Amino acid sequence: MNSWDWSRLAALDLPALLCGSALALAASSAGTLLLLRRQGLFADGLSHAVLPGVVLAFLWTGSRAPAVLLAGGLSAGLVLALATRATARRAPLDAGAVLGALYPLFFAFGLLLLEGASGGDLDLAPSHVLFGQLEQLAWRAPSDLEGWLDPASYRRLPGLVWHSLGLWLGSALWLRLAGRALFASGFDPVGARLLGLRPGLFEAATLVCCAAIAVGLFQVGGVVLALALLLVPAACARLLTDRYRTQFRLAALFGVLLIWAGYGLAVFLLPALLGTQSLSAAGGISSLAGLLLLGVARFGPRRARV
Amino acid sequence: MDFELFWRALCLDAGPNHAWVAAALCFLGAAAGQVGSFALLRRRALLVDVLGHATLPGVAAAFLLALALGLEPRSLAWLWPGGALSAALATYAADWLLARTRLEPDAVLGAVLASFFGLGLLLLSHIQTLPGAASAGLDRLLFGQAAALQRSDAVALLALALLAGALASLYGRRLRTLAFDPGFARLAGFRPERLDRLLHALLGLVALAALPAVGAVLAVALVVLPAATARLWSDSARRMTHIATGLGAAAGYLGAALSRAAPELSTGPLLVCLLGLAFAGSLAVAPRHGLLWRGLRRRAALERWRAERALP
Amino acid sequence: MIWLRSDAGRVDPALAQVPLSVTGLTAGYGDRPVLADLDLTLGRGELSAVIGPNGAGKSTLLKSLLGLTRPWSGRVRFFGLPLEQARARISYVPQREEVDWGYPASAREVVEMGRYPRAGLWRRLDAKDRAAVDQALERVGLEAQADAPIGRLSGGQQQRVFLARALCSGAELFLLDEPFAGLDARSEAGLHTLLAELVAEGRSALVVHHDLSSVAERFQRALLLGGGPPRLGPVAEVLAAEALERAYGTRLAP
Repeated sequence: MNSWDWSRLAALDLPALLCGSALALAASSAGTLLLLRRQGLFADGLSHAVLPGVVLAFLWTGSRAPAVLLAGGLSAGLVLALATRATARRAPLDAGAVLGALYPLFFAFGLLLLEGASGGDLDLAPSHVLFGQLEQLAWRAPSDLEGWLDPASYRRLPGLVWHSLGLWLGSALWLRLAGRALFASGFDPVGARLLGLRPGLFEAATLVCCAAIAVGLFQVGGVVLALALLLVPAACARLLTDRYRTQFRLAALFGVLLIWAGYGLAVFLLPALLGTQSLSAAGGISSLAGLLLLGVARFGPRRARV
Repeated sequence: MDFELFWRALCLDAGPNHAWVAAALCFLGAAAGQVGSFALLRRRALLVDVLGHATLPGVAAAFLLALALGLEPRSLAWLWPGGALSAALATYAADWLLARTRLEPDAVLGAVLASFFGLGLLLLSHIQTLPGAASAGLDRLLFGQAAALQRSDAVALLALALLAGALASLYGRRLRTLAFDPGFARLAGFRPERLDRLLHALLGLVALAALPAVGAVLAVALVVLPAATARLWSDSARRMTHIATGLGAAAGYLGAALSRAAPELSTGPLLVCLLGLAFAGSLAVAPRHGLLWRGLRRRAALERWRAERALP
Repeated sequence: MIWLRSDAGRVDPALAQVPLSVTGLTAGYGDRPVLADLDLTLGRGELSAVIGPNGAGKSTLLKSLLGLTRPWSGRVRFFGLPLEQARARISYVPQREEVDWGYPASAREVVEMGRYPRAGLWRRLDAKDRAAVDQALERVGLEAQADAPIGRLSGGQQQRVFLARALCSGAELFLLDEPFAGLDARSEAGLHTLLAELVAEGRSALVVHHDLSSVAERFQRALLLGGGPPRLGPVAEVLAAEALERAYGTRLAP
């Protein structure tokens, strides 16, 4: 086994792992909240629907700053939520059918914008939307110990890393603040409303939170990573425990595990074993997520249907 | 986009291939609309998304296998069976998870979708590093490119679509009964489990056929949107199916022409946005359920209701 | 505190002592009306039933009262106040199949929710809160199952969790949607006894009831919905053969 080139690892892989870990932590909480409300379909919807918002934000401002794209994607997510609610109320279609009709439509619109505007510009290529850019995050890592201790070196980290850390901290803070209200409204929104806990407000804010995390995931790893990290860690946790807090903690653990293992698989292990070049990290993480879910379902303590 | 070419394409005057492509997409749209009606009534929309996305790993694997065996890797002759296999595997995995765990169906299907598609992306990322433009053919199956269809492919697509349509018509009445009234369906001797399996197979067939046309990612929209739109125009299952079929066919035909006139754009997004416009428009103006007429409908219904219950 | 709603509001003095007062309620499903011009009052210490065939609007009534579906027209007052100002005094027990029994909460944790308004969103529950919770659990007979996950409770026990929560929050008006459905005879009798006791202490309850045969022995007054005009009154009157025929004879199309 060759000796690792640590400086190269630090330059090429550390940002991706930092970014991915922070997002995984945020996504696991968002996913757990969604699953507890039996809104798993919304994870699917959000992951797809943010695309047109992101593209429009880029086309309008010309900037690719994560915050700008976040604003765009967030708006798109909110439009999806509002459109779904409004349509389901008025049409003889249930919410699931409406969502299932709307989110591919949003995605298609986003693709159309992307293809129409990109005109061969590879950076905007639609496949970016699917693969994300985890493997491309790089920075000029410090070359000696002094550099590592100097805060200025960290300013060179890609903006997405800070963005992801911000999303994680923001969501953790929100959970802390709103924990009790969300516990109540997740179980029984009507009861929560009668108790004066303002479920409408808290649920709406949580939705915004989830949408922001979905956009972050989307920017970093594309649609598939967003969906996999939102659903699978939370689903695995759900299968392993009946306690509220424990579900969040287990999901966080699984999320980070998947990031590291999946990245290692796609970027190091498979290329080494099969002689290929480094493969899609998002693909590796998502595939591994599927295996994890199957494993937990097969070998975990049996959780019978309620 | 070349408008002159678009007009000619509509009149089927845009080259020898185009007529076949237009026909193929037309019948594909029809079949998708028809089968989509049953899927919508049976609440299987998300399953179609899974079927669409889950074809990718099989297609990519078939590609690599064909390459290794020295065959033409981009031929649908093996890409389609590969996709069918992985889609079937995905359905099996989803069923297993649904039966064994207490996770809600949406979460299971979403997870299966993401992991299978992720596997496909993993394989695709490898294919993209291979020399030559080998992967271009595969990329087209992500979002569809009707303009790139060879005549043989178009004919094959047409055949698949006709097969799906024929089966759907043959079993249409039973599938509709199953969707509306499963209890009655069982009493009438239809076997729900078998019909469900048939429905899933039909959905898979349509998703496969849709790969070269609208791609794996958007196949679901082709199936769900016409049906959802049709629902706004009719409360009768039968009529809804007819409307959806017609809508799908029209969209397919128009989409083929659009794609011919704008080959730099993928067909999938074009076609789906067309359908989306139809959906949005119908939400507004359809007489049965459109918003415009809601006030009138409610007033009328209330009058009738009061009259029925007037005290003597 | 801005995170919790306050209770201020203008009271309609004539109705301040009337837990529930409904006038001219019209509501429907999609474009189909299900209730039209409905009047209803419920007084203190009353245990009334809402009966009628499926599709007659029983659940729609409850949902309209709670603002879960928007009624087409009508006026609803709780203790003389609109819903938003009176909500602290109302408690709702949904149909069993509408509840997510797989939610990771124990019976105690659900009952504790009744103390959240008093404790606020961040203050830990203190000894007083815990005592109130224990008391409520005891009152409904769930001390033994307090720490069991709600999914493991029996049907009757599940209903009692909601009642205990209502006791904790001090609700005076209970709205229950088919609480006795699916319970065995013993559980049903036990639940009814508990409900009757709570009502006798000055509260009121409006219960959507699914079973005609037990209405007479369990309730004093009933509201009959269905094919004919709504009939509200003492159970015996409402159950008169003619009224029943009209209600159930003209079935509403599904």
